[in-house]
Amino acid sequence: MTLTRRKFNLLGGATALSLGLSASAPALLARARPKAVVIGGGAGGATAARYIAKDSGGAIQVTLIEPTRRYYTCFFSNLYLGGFRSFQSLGHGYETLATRYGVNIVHDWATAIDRDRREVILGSGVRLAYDRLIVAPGIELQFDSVPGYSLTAASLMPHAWKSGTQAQLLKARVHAMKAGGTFVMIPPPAPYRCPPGPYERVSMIAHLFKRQNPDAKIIVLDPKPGFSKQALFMEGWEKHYPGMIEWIPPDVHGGVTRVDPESMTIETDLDSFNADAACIIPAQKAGAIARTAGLTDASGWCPVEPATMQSRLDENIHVIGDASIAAAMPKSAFAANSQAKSAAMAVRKALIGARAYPARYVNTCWSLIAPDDGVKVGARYRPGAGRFEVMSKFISKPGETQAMRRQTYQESLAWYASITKDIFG
Amino acid sequence: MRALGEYLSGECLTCHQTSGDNPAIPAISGWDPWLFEVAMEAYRTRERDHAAMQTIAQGLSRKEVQALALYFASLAPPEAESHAQ
Repeated sequence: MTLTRRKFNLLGGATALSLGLSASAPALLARARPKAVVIGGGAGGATAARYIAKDSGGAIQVTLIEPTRRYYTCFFSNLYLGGFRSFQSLGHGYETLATRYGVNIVHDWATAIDRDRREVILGSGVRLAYDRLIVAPGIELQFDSVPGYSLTAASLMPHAWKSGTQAQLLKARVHAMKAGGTFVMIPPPAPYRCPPGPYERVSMIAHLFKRQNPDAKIIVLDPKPGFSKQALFMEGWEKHYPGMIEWIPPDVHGGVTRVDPESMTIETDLDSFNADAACIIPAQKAGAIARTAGLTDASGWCPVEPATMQSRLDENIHVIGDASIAAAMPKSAFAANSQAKSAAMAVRKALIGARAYPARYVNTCWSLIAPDDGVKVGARYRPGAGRFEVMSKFISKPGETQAMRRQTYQESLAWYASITKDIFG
Repeated sequence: MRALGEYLSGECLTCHQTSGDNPAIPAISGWDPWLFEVAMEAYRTRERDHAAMQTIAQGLSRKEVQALALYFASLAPPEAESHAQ
């Protein structure tokens, strides 16, 4: 089937028409539809596939490449950790994208992109031709950014910064921690996926300890001098978990010099910490396929045109989500979903001449500090000259009423239901 | 107008479902267009309190709000859709 398609591609749609195949070969003509291929079935990629398919009414052939058959969202995995969600509730399948929207789901790894021939090379060896490619690979963890940390060490000190079993592993280790033990968290340096995520995670672990292990301590060895929603988290930690969490900025600990997963020790310039459980979130960069395809710059992330999310290094490729450089937009599922719609529109315009409107971007990040104590931060953006411009923004305020915080949490639950439907159909 | 409304609706649908019911973020499908416009105007002028909705409303022109109002009015309200299924 692949050979047939490739052979046909060589002819091109216009040639096929001039050969007079139109009346006798509708099946062949169907294959002449322009091809959009999406690498990565997360918040960005699956949204892009769905919107291209939905809004082109079958005029574009859409293929989504995603190795996992069931996708477990990273967003809301902290709520699973805190006991507010089941693991199953984080899982989503691709059936609706296939059956309702006609997206061809290919469960395989994209191992390379032949940009000259416009083909994606899969782990199986198959070459998949595209007219436009959307690259949404998420992040790759830089294990060696924390001396002593490694992929292997992640079994003893989970990062849990990619969805799935790492979150389960971390939860098991938190639950198994000895009474009065010490949990150490090392958040990542910027830029990274989900800016408030490490601090929501600290909150959720503190929530568990408060109920099950009230003498436990949490030490946060941060490589950054400040963090997202800091005033809100600090206020919440003081209110709900007094004396439990110690956040130590880099000018105090002087930097993490080594972690030893076997002895569970973490050394800094200041001191050596013995952890009974730990979460190490290393530095990050764009998913590996983006780098091997030459779509990253010296920063390790992918420069894009804000109006279309097109790669600055290849006009036939759009990079969306965490892998893209979209500052001031944070690396979040909401942002990826928003960018996907802009990219989908640009792809439809390029491939079938669909009408395009100016791109609009929006983001909101909710975090849960304690039961019914939700906070949020958000903004609206527009594409500017080479950058994303903040049009307006908002953030929860310290000292808000309990009713307001409860409402914010309830809103986040409704958002999860909506965005996962918007992503996966 | 419908194409504009459909495009702009992408921004709404990240949070507002076209089916199902969740009072924390209500469904907006099948609304009377006039009601839709009044609600958005109240957010734009900050007479109605919700930081995220105020931010969204202030980013939309009158014409864009009308396009959205017409588009969502054309969709079946959630109850009708769930009966159909």
